[in-house]
Amino acid sequence: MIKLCLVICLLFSLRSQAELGKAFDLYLSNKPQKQEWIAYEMMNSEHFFVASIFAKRHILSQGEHSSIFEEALETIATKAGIESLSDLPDEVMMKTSGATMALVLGLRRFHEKNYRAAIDILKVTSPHGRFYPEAQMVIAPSLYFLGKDEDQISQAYQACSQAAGKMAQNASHEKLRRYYELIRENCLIHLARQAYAKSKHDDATYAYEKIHKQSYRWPYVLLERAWNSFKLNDYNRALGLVATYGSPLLESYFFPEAEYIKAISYHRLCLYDDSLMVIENYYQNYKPKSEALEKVIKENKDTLDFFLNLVFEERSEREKVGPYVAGLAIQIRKEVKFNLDLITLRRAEEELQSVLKWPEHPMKKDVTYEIMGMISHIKKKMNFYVMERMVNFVNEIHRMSYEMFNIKLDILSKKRDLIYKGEKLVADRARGELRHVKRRSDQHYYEFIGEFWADELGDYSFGLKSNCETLQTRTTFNSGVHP
Amino acid sequence: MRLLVIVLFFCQISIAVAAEATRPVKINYQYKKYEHFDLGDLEVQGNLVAPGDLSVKEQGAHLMDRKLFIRANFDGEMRRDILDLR
Repeated sequence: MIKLCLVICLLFSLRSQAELGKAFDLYLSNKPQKQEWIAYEMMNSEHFFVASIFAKRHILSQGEHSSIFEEALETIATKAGIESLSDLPDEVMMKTSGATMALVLGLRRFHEKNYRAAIDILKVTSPHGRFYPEAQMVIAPSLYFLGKDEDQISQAYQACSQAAGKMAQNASHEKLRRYYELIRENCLIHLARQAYAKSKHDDATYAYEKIHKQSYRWPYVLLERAWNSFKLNDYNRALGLVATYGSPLLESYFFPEAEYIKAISYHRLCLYDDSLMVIENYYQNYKPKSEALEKVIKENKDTLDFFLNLVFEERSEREKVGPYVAGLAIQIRKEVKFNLDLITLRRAEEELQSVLKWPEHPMKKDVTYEIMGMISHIKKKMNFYVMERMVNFVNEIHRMSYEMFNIKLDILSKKRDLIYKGEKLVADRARGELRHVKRRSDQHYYEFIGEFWADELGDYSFGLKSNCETLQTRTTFNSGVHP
Repeated sequence: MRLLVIVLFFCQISIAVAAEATRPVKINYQYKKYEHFDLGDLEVQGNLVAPGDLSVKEQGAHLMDRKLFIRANFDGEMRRDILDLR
């Protein structure tokens, strides 16, 4: 058995050597198609970053390309990431046909908020193509931002989720399956968000419920579901949903906005003291920690890899650096974007090691320089991504702090008005009762009694009665004599 | 002769009057003297009516609702999902 394995390895090695030899010969030749052919040879030897270098050179020199080359481009984009092909100038990309370059260019237009151009570029993507779900996922929000017809947008999202679901089923390996599953879920969440923005909150509820608890997106969706319940005036469910973040399973997920939802839900139920307590806790917990985190960011903002290295540190080491760093690092490490970039970085580093073992040749010198540039670019991008997430988190704390202060002022104003009007709120009522829980016949409900159970997460609802009923405290004097 | 004496007499008078008229008038400014009012001594005509109860006109209390942040959409999150693609 061991002998058989050794023979197979030897055969692969010899094949790889032969492909490399062919590539070296082509590199020194004057053949007009040499860039394209080197790209094929490098793909066969699984050097996808090297292949991307020659593929781009081929596009720059030839512009138009064949369907076989398009297929190769799709593989390069999948293995080495779209980023490896995205540094081509606009005018070159415009000339090339094919789904890969269309996706790269469409994403660039979307980034520039040129939604009409993004749609025009991506609408040619074939429904049988590998990038069809992604293309639909860009087209649908582009239509939404252009204020197009709701049915048209929904159709694009449906096409996206169906195509992505089918590709997830047929995926050759687990990572690819998870990637397409994520696209499918993204399209479903976008449908829910569209319904939310159009004030169709019942539709949004059903759409959000299609996201399973096992999904990576589920903890993030809880916050949006809480807002949706809030909009449906179901403040008890909004409170139950954000209470889920207190579960030990979700301890790394902390959102300042979740605290805000708590405060405003209590405010709407006229439970002013509860609301004020949430606000006070927020100021006590978040303010000093956000200041400490801000200090860490400011001290290291100009470094090239501080934040990226932080993600890979031991938990105890991360906690020493600053508050929230450990939790934020866990969140970031679970993010698909970060993971895709990390896979790309590892592949590029492995490929560089492989290239460094090549025999001396002008092509080796050429591609080594290029791959080192790619690795440096990916690292910088990832470092910036982590720093940006931390900066956004600090900004979010500050923004919510301001909004919380507004709630506090409003409560003080309302309390003052009650005193002036000689009224008081109904205070002697039970804290929670089942009859105050709103639920559909097909909707789960679990009473939250201070314990979290994995199967109950996301289905909690409080049962608080609204305290907005007022009692008159003014005393009338019939005889004009004070009692 | 008598007539001449009368005429000269009247001429002298009119010259004296004209001279008096051309002399600059001396103006004496006087500040208003302190005026004292004895309010206790004032009498107002009419009937004296005491309010039976403290009465404040009931008005619809105008509560100034502070504009609190309520999520209108998730557009920012939608854009970020696309930019994080691949």
